[in-house]
Amino acid sequence: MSAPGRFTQLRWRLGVALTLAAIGLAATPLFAHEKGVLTLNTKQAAPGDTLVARGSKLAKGAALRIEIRGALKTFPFGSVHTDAAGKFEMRLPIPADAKPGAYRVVAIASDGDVSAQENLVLRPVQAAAVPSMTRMPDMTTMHVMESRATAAPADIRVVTSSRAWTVIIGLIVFALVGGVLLLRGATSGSARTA
Amino acid sequence: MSSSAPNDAGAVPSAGTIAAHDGVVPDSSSAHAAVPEHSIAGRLGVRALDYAIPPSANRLPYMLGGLTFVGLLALIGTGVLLDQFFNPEPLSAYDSVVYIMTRVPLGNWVRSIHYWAATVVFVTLFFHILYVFWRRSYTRPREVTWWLGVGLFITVFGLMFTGTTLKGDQEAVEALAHAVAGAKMSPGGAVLTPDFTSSTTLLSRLHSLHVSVLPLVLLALVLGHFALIRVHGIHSHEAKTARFTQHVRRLTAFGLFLCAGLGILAAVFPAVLGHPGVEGVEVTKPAWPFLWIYAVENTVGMTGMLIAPIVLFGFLAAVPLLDRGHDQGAGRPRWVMGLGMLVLLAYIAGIVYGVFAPQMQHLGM
Repeated sequence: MSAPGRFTQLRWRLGVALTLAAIGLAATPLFAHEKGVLTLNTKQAAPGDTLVARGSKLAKGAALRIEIRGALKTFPFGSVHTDAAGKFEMRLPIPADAKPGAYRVVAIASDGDVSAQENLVLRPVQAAAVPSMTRMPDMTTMHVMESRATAAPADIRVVTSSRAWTVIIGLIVFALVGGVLLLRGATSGSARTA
Repeated sequence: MSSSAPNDAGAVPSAGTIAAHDGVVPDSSSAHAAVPEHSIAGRLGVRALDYAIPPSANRLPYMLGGLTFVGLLALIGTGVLLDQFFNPEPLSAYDSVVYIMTRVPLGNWVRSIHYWAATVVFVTLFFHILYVFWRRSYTRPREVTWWLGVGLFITVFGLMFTGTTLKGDQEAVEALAHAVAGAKMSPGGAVLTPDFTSSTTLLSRLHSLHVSVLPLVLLALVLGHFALIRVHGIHSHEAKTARFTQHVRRLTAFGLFLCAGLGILAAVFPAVLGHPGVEGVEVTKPAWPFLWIYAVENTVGMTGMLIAPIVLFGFLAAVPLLDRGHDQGAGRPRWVMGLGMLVLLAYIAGIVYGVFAPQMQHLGM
């Protein structure tokens, strides 16, 4: 193989190695924490229930913040200190207004990192009242349900920051300008071909 | 426009013969020289794209398929972003969509682009099929290309339907109930019922269909479609005086305009979300691409959701069998054209009727 060929190959290998190293470094923080264990007395509860969370294999004598995190709302439960064995126990009364859904109970260290976590599903309080999707409810139920069901769009307040608008407008302008430039190039290319 | 001598009936031209007839050399050595082997473009095999095509391929009607592909890329890109935040658990799906809209930076815009891209893909694909039918580009030797396109159309419908079920609002819950009802009526449809397995939810499996199974099917069909277009050439009788690289360039330009349009549509008319779904009632109508099915359901009940697609997709699949001519042979039988127009009119009438028809309860009909 010629010297320039070897140099090109070396450059490619170096580039690949550097890229892999950068990915590795970027990914490291994702796996740096969460060494403890958090267990719940139940993984399925309803709003208004009280959970018992137990932590173990955590830092000894550490202060941890406990939260239940959902997609739209986080419920803070204050702080707890682990004992000399790195364990703690805490009662978590779930607010009655918590919406059913998938949540995560997390123990957060003083530096803000999650030390331990466990999944939690909040079921509706009156699950039995919700009819099965495959069965039609009786007329009485349907009347009650129809008063809740609506085809109207939900009034969800979406705030778009000025920075977001800048990005949106920038991307649109970028696409338009890129399109025009490409089209010009293609037209002049066609003219050359002709 | 120049016309070429017709091929012998029955002969399936290869890429080489297609490129060679009309007196055009398939590969330009000067173009090869312009892309050095050791450059990045050379390494990426860009030279392979520099083959001769008819100049009509650079007109917009011929680009509808390519624009559909650009729309699909936009859907994949925005879909991957959305899926980082979407939770397919039935109790959390709606909340995670609200989370995307309200908490994720640019989340509402990305979601709206996804919505509008789906609509645009449907429209461009529809007009692409219409144009191909009109030009009779499905005839020998392009039957399989047409069938792969019909498969793409069906897959896009499947993607739109499964996407609708994921958002957790009233429309989604009703679509899910229809999916279950339809699956129960179909042979082998048990996989789309909640009773299929207790280890995971139906919504989770529909999510899996939406983000992995159907996109893989789509990808396979698109690759097959493109490969056959490369083999049989673009259906045109013009001399091949243009280059495919120019076509790609123009298509990319139009694709960028399309993306800009999607961005503007998403910013000005963001996708809406209904209220959290209530099971067991029907108060919504489906999205407009499904209104023709809704119209048939209004008339014949739940079986309509099976009959209508079978009729439309069945007709599309049968087109190359009904009109078995050669692309450069005798004209199309009038009755095939008439049947096509009838199906198109029924399709449009179904959508118009669906828009104005009163909302009706179909489940249990």
